[in-house]
Amino acid sequence: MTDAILILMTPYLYATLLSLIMSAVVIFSLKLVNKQAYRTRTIMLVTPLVGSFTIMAWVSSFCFIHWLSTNYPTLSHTVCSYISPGSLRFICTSLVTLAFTSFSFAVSLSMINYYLGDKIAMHLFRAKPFSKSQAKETYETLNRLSRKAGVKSPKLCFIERSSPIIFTVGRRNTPTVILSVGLLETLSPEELEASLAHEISHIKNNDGLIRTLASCLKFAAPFNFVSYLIEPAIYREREFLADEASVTLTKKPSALISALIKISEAFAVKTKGGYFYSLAMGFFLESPLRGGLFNKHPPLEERLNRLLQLKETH
Amino acid sequence: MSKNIRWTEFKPYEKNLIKVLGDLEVDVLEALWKLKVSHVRSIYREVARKRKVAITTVATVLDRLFEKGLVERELKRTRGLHYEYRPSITKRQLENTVVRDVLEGLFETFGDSAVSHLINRVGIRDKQKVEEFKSYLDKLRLERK
Repeated sequence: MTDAILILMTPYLYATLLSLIMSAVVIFSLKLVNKQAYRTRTIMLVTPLVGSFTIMAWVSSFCFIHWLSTNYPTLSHTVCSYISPGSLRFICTSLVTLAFTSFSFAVSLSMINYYLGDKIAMHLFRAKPFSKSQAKETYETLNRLSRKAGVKSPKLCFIERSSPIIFTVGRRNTPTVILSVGLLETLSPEELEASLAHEISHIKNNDGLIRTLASCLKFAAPFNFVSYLIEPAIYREREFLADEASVTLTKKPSALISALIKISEAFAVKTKGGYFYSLAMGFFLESPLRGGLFNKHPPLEERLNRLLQLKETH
Repeated sequence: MSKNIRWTEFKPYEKNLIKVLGDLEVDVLEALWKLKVSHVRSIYREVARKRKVAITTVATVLDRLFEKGLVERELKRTRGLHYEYRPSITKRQLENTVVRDVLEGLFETFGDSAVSHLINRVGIRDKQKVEEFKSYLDKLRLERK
């Protein structure tokens, strides 16, 4: 029995190590390049690299198990005897390995994402903390809303962008709201309040955890097509929920509507090589031009329709 | 200075600066050249006189212009956070940079046809002047290396 656990644990440890190395590679390569335009290219370059690392993890742990089963038949026999006897041993071993590797990879990646995701995101976007004296009004609004929602007041950080960006990172007890300088410049105080309420609702609904679980599900079953549909569907639903909760907090559906329209206007401009924008949009608004089953944010129209319905009831 | 300025495309059949920038980018840049030092709201007001546009769109375009090195911005921490924008080059300087970079690129890639077209266009008939022009170009090429 202990042997079986050992065999099953090895790919897990292996995948953990690999995913740690991968994260380090991503962060390090982003640290090397300073210019924004080159950073986006680096992300695009690193992503396939990460993908090939994953496959390498699978293949090499599969080879390891195969080596074990040929050199130490008794060890792997313990595992396989639970599932199937005799001739099917080879297939069973490989399937078990594959399933466990993907599962363990998913778990370790999700754990890194859940516990270090906020730091990684802040590093990627070069977020700087906001001092309370600098943004007295914003802090007051944030504190009032979070008291009303009954969550811990989040930390505020800003990123140096002229375009309006707002998103939340971190777990429920250590949340950070990150906004761009452009958001403070372009949104009216009411719209800013509505979008802050939207982010606080994400914290209240514990969407960080739900997102992590959803992506864990996707990685755990990488060959299952349905898992690729479930993840964005969950995201879209959470987005609607956050919109609704935001309206319950502020009682101002029209402010959120105009904030949504304003932010979508910012990204409706044709961008050339605008990978950063699509990355940033992912947090608050996906491209309004794209829709469909794989979109992680619901289309703007649908969101606005639901908000208009809410407006009638309020 | 012009080393930091980048554009990604050259559209030979468009007019004015739209050859190298987006039309909205040109409008924002022109508003900024007019206002000199300004905030996003006043830039937006200036651009909105000419065309229908959202303030957030102007902000995004300013982001792009900043990345292209055409606009400088300074973070001000008084009364909340906001940016102060200023153009990093004048219109004249930008035009000069465009002409220089495009011509140099043409000479580098299509040396002979570019030179012969230029000679025809300017109308140099004198053989000696052609030689002078050629040696000048060679000098330019050497300097680049």
